[in-house]
Amino acid sequence: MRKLSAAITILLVLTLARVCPAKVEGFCSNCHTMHSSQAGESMARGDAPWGGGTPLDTSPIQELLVASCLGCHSTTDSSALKPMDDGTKIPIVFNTSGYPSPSLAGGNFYFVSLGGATNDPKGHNIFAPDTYHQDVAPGDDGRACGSDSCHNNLSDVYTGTPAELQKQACEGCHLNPSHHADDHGHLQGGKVDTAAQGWYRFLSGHDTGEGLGAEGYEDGDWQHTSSSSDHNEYRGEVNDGGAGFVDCGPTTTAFCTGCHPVFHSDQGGIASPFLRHPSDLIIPNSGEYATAFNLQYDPFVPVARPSVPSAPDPNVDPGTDMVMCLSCHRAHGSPYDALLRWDYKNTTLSVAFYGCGQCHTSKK
Amino acid sequence: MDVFEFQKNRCFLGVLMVLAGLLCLGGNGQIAWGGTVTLYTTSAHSGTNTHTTGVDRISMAALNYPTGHCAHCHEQHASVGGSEPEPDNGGADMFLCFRSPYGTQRAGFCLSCHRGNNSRQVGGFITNHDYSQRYGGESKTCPTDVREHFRFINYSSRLPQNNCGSTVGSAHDLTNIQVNALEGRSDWGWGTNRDAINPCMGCHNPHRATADFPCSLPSGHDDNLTWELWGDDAGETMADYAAGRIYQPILAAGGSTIYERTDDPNDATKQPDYNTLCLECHGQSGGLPSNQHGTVIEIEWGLTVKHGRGAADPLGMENGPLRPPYNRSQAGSYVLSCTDCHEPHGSRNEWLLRTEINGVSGIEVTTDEHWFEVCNACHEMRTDFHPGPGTGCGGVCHGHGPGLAF
Repeated sequence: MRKLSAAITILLVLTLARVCPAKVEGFCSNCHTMHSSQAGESMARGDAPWGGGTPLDTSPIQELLVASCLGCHSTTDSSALKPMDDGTKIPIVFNTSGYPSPSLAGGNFYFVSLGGATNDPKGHNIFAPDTYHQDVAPGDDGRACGSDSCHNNLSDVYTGTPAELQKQACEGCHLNPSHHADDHGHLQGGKVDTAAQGWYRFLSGHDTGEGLGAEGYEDGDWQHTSSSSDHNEYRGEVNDGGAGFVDCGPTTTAFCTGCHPVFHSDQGGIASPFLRHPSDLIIPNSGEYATAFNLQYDPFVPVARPSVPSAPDPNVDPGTDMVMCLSCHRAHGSPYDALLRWDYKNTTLSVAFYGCGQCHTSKK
Repeated sequence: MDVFEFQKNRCFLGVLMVLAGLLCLGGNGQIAWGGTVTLYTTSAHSGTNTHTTGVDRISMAALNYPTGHCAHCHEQHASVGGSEPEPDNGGADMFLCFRSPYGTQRAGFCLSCHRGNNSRQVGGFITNHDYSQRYGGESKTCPTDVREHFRFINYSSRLPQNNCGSTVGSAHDLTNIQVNALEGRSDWGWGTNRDAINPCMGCHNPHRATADFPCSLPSGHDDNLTWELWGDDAGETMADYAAGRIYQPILAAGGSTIYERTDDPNDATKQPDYNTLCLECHGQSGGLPSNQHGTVIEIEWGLTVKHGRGAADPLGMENGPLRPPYNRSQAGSYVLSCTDCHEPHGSRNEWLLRTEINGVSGIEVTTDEHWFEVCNACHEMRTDFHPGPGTGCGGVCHGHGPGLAF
């Protein structure tokens, strides 16, 4: 009887250990260093990517991290997932040698990192003062947060108050990274819709948006592989104008309006005639839209759902699902101006209209 | 296969699936198989059509948007690089267009490019000949662009003004079309928001129009998927409209064997059925309110009308026998197309009467209802019977409408 009880206990422990959401997994040393020193050498490498050689900044980093956000999530090779010795994988958002194929869902910072007027429009510029947009985000509504505010500038550290907002670059958007939050297993997808889980992709608010964030389904490998049944899921909510989580709900569109509010607040309502391309608006189940996407989810041109499913939905349902900011734009960067997902300026119109034609089926 | 190739193949497959769906689906009212399916990428504005170069707004071309791209007309966020591209109207406009749909007879979204000078189009102008020149073969230097077609009436008074050397010209009153023909036609999908109605779209679907088939029925506007070109398919030609009668392609300027839109004088299938298009508005019971005329009378083109499906008038045939290509022995069998006599946009003559009809160029109607030259293009007008050139006859003897002799 005792042996049976012990066996059951062991079995339960092993089982529970597998099903409990494990947030980040693997060796602590993948991300942390106790003293930032080994064999007399600094373990911290600042922003230097994996494989990046001698780093410029070896100062110890908060949270005992071995690298900054950018340092951990960038690499000199072409991989979009960085494998560690223990089998864990780190999502890469910046490849220093070229735009990866495939990239991850958010895109890649490669092109915007090249700088200059030609490349500044291709990403959220976390590297240097943006010469294309200056210090005003497109669609800004004139909010007085200062030119170094994250709402206007991602490369500079915010110098205003409160102190906890004195961030820049990755943390300008991913305000409260919560790698140890209880969301879902590593490389496993899962629905994320609470603060305890860190919100979808760590997209949360502050000020009026304090305690609020985006909901979604996080694809396990960040869409390194993707298909109609293997992809992120995004929450959408129809609202007549407004900006921010309070007005627009727990959506990625709401998050975008934190810096680009006019594009949603001045879109002209929730019915035609629109003034600007609507976001978080239901794709009509009529006319040319009735066959949008051929009713099959395209991870290249995602849609938003009124409620986040527990698993990726392979279908698109006109009359229910919504077009959103991320339907057309990448979050980090892309090879194309305005962070667009496809080659919008290709001289072959069917290529230029690829994403547009998913909804506007008579305009291909 | 890299991501781009995968996307291209999926796009192509998607197009095939949409077309397949259009072939198979029907009866649910949402999608109907109506013949040739035209897409934007085969339209004149896309630049893939013959005779056209495609939309190419100066400010967007400078930003490397290719010819034919949506962005030349539509600004997704009214912002490129943080500012509104030219013309900067101080904000976004309806339908994401770069300006409001309609202003006046001389200013509006379409007329921002379709004009002879100061056009937003690369090059600064877009040439569009009127019907007499485009199909009738008449040589003229004015009007040569759409804005000029419509400027035979004043933008403010909406009455005839001096244009192309004529002070008695006429044009479709775009404000009339917006307010009296389209506004409130919810069955046609136009709604009651006047500011959102572009009168040009009463006859044209800008996403489908081609150089050879520029028109779409106003009644089709309700469904942008099925709002197809009109006149390019079987069932949409004058051969169909004139079923049981004869539509005779008329001569074009330049010779007795040159015909409008066809090389075969017996082929009525090349002439779009513009009658159905025109009569969607002009056939409305009670006529249409008109700023200039009070009311443009209801036009009926059936069995009571000589130039419609009605029989010929023996007296008329005696005093105005038919000219070629019409066959006098078949008098009474013919049905005319509206465009055989009328310009769709504007004319230096009153009542939108063409300056070239049936190969006869330079037709001038300089005084109200002096239509001798118009009629003489198809009829040998006996001057011992008819009032001669320069003498009025309209309204007394001829005119469209119920009870009138035309």
